[in-house]
Amino acid sequence: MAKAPFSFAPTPSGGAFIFSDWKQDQYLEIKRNETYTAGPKAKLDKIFLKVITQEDTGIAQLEKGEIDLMTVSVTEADRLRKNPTLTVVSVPSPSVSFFAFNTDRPYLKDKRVRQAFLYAIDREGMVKEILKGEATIVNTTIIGPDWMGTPEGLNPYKYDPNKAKQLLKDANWDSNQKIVLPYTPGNKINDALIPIFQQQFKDVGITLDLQSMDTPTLNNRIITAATATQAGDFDIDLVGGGVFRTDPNVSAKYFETIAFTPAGANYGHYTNPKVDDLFKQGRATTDRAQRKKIYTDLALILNDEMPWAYLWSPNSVHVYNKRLQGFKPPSYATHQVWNAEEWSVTK
Amino acid sequence: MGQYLLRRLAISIPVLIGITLATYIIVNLAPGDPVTALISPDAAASLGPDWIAQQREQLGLNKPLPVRYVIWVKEIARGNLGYSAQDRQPISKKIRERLWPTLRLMGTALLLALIISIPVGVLSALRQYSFLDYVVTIAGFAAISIPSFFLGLIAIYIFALKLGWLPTSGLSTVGKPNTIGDSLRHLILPAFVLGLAQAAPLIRYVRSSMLEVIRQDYVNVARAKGLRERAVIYRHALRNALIPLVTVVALTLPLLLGGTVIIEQIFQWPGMGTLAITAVKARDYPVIMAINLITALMIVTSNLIADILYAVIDPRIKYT
Repeated sequence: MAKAPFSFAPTPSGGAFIFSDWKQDQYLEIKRNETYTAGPKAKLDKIFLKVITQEDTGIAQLEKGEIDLMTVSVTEADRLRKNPTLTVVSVPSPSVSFFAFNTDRPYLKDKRVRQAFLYAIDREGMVKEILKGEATIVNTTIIGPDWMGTPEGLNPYKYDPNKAKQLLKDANWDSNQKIVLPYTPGNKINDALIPIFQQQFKDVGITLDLQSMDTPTLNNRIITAATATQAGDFDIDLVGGGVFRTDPNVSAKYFETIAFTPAGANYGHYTNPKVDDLFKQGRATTDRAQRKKIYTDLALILNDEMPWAYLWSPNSVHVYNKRLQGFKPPSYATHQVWNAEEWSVTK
Repeated sequence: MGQYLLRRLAISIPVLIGITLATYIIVNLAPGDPVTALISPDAAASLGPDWIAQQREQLGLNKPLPVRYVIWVKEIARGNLGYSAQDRQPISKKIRERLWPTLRLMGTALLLALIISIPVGVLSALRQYSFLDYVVTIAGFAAISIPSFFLGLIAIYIFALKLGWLPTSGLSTVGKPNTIGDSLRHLILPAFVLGLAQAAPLIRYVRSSMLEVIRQDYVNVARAKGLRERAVIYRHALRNALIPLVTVVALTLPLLLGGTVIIEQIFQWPGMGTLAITAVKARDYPVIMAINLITALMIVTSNLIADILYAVIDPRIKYT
């Protein structure tokens, strides 16, 4: 099935566009589906989806007008705003960046230690300087949708190195304990952030042991190495992703006991019967007022227990040429062509 | 000579087997596998271990390593490179699609490198310690020292973005009919950046080899015969000075098919380098092995070609 020619040149389409041509490592070409009747026909006769191997080259193409639309790193937004031929839209993304703690590690079992990690870092400063303001600080993953909103009364964990030191002292933290952070270099933002994390953790007495590796190796350490009874081979893991704004229950697959990696995305094997119970209750009812209350309770517990050190929810930055009309930012960054049938270009 | 050739060809078979065996073991020892490499941790966790096990079985990854190697060798012997673990496309097709772009880029770059390096190297040697020689030396060291990705980005910035003379990247203008002129315009920037980087060390080779040759007695003899300086340099000195260059150039021949990762990535050139790096990142064992095999074949052959050419140009060397 996967080897059939059909898989590389599909002929049917249920949408406004249909497959036309695919040049590997170059581009995918789609054309207007003339037989589409479920809505208005597409305005553009074709769209090329180009492969961009290097963000810098992609931006050069954007600036030169060779491509019309691209999602760029938040760090590029400011510079591109000054370009008169381009429009920059920055919208909140459904993702959250965080450190997952391996709660199987005896030295990370005490919640005061985990809280100290978050007090130790200046998230506001990082968002301002590294992410150029293109992110919102969060203290929970329960951040949507609109009827849920972000619960009130969460501890904001404002930057307070002294508090972090105090918490570590109370928890009898051994400052010789190294904390292993495996990561994949090559992400501009993470590469800029990680040395700052390392420094700010060091200031309160936490030594970060950075171990760089490629993605398959990292996946192996976090997922494949995990068993039902033991989390993967890491102390903390810097992750960004998820689609948290669609429903508060999305968080379940990260914090429930049944979601222990490899069966789910609870990488650090955090377990709490009360959390499990509340997630179950939240799924058992459709009453929004009741659900809102349950998930608010959950957010408060998880904000205090800190199975993750929540960092922020970054924005998605879409940049397009002014000749492109009708582009609307998608709620999930990669779904840029969601309303492509409404697009048109001016000469 | 014939016997020598046969012997060399016979030796290359165990060499190739050794290379493929070693690379097979190494790529398989790298942590991770094609299944987990292709999905995010988030997706892996949601799909669960059963799904991963099923995918691994589909790709034949559940068989022990020696069995997999034997199967691979059997298929290769029948001329079957296999299917990519990433997208299940036949590898022969993937490679065929990339061969011509790679050859075009690498060939042009090598040609440019030779066109630049031979005259510049000769001039620089003939006028040793002149102003020109110093300029060439400094420029050469700069070209060797500046990383090619930086040179590439600077070239895109100046010639594509600021001056607007050339396209930034790619094989051709997307959505326009494919013309030779358009392809050439796309070729200029990457070929020059690569050519300059390759020319720099070649200039040094030509210069030093020329310096050595023009001090030889037979060059003095040629002068003493009353030959004009041009004839002495071109007919007697240069031809001999280029002999060491043959080895150097022959050793760059595998690159003609192997491509170059960095320049291809920067200029979005869909060549073998890009194929190789995506295969490694995705732990696409069959593709990695196919590329390794081709590169190994190219290296073995170009070494052989270099040896043969040596005997052809330099009568002092004989193989028995």
